[in-house]
Amino acid sequence: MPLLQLDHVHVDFPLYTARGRSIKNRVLAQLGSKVRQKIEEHNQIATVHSLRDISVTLHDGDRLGLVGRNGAGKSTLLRVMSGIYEPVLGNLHVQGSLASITDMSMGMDMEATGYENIVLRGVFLGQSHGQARSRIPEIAEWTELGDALARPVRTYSTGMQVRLAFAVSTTIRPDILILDEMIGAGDAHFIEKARARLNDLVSSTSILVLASHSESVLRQFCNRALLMHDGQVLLDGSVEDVLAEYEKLP
Amino acid sequence: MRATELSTVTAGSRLSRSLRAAWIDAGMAISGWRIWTTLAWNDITQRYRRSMLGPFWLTLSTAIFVGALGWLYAGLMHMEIKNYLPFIAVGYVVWGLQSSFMGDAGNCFPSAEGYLKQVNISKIGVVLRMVLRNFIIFLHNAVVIVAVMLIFQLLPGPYFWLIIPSLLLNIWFGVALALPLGMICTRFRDLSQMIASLISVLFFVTPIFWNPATASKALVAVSEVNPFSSFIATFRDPLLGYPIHVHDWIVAITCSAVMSIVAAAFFVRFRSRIMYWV
Repeated sequence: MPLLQLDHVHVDFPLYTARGRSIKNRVLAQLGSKVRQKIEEHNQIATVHSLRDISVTLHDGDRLGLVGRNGAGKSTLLRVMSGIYEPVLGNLHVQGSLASITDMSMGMDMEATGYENIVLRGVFLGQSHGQARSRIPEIAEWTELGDALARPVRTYSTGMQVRLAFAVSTTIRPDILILDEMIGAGDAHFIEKARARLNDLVSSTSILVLASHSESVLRQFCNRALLMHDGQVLLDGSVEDVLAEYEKLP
Repeated sequence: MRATELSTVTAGSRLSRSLRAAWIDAGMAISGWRIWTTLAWNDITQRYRRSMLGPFWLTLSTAIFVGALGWLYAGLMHMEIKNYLPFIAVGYVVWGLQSSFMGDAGNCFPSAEGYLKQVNISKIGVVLRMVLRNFIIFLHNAVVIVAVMLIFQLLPGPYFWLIIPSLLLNIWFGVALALPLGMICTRFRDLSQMIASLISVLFFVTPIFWNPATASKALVAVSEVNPFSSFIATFRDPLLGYPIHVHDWIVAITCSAVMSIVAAAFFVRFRSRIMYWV
C-alpha cells in the first residue's frame, strides 16, 4: 500500500551571504582572536525556519491540497516529500513509487532537440532509452508539435515549450504524485487539453499532493487540505474548511 | 529551543541514518546509471552541436600546445625532440584528465542545481557525470598521443597494457577527490578560483614538461611528494617503454585508497547538506 508519512519534520534554510560563502573569510576568522570576534559577527549565518513540526500521514486515496500564501512553505514541503530536501529534524517515510512535477522545465535541455528532451526526461523518470523513445509518437501527437520536435528547444515559443514539458512530465504513472501549481500557461485550447491529461494522471495515482492558489483546482482534485502559514500547519481538514479558514487569515 | 532539544535526542541514531542514506545514494548512482551517463553524453554532444569539430577543438589546442612546448623546450633543454615530444604529449594529456577532474569538481553541484531541486537523484551520480564527461574528452585528446607515436614511429613498451589499470587508478582517484572537493566548493564559492590557480602551479611542479631523470635535486624532491607525478608516471612509463617504478604504483594506489576513505567520511557526514548549499 502506498504511504507518505511525515513525522515532526523541521527544515531550516541557511541564508548564506557572500561573506558566509567565502572560505577565505572563514580561515581568517580562525586566526587571531582579536580580529576574530569582529569577523564572526559578520559571518553569523542566519537560518530561516522554513518548516516547523509538520506531521501528516497520507494513505491510498488521499488527495491533499496545500493552501497558503507565497512563502508559507508549500513548495519546500513538496520538496521534502519528494526527498529533495532532507529534514533537519524528524522523519520522512515513503512507500511506493513517487514522482514530483514541481517545475516543468526540469530536465529540459535548451540546446537539445525536442526528441532528445523526451528521452532525457524519460531517463530521469527511470525509463530506459528504448522505453522513453516509445513515448515519442504519443507526445508528438498530443503536443501538436510535429516536425518541430526535431529542432532545438531554444527555438520554441514559450507556449510550445510548456506544451512539450507538460506532455513529457505527465507520461509517468507513479503511486504517489506531487504537483506544484502548473496549469496556467498556454492558450485556452491547450489548458483544456492539459486539464484532461492531468485528470487522467491524477485519477491513476494512489496519493496526490498538490499545491495551488486556485480554489477551483483544489476543489476539483482534492479531498483533504492543509492550511500552511509561516512554515506551520494551521489546519488539516476538508478542502472547504481550509479554504474558509484561508479567507480569514489576516 | 525545541529544535535543539530534539536534535540531542536523535543524535545517537544520526550516524546510522547518515550511513544508510549515503549507501542508498551510492545504490542510486548504480541503478540510475542511465541518468548520469546520458547527462555526460549530452554534455559532449552539445559541444558537437554548434561546431563540427566539437571536443576535437580541445584536441587541436592540446596538439598545438604539445607541439609548440615540445619544440621550444627540446631546444632550450638540449633534448632530442624524438624523445622529448612523446614524453610531454603523454604527460600533458594525462595531466589534462586529472586537472579537469579537479577544475570541474567545484561546478558539479551548482551546475546541476536545476535537476537536483526537481528530482531526488544520486549526488555521487552528479560527480560521475563530470568524471565521465572528462574521460570522454580525454579519449579525444588521446588522439594526440597516438599521432605523436606514429610520427616518431614509436612502439608501445612491453608492459603497455599497464595503461589500463593506470587509467582505472586515475579515474578512481578523480572520483574520490572530486566528491569531497565538489561539496566544499558548493559550500564555499570562492574555493573554485583558488583551485584554478593551484592547478596552474601544480602543472609546473609536476614532471610534465621536465623529466625528473634530468632535473635538479630540488625539483626531484618536489615531484616525489607530488602524487600527480606518480599518477602520470603509471601511464606514461609503460606506454613509452620507460623503466617502471613500483614506487609510483604504490603512491597512486595509496593515495586513491586514502582519498576514498576521506571522500566516504565526508560524504556520509555532509551529503544531506548539499541540497541546502547549492
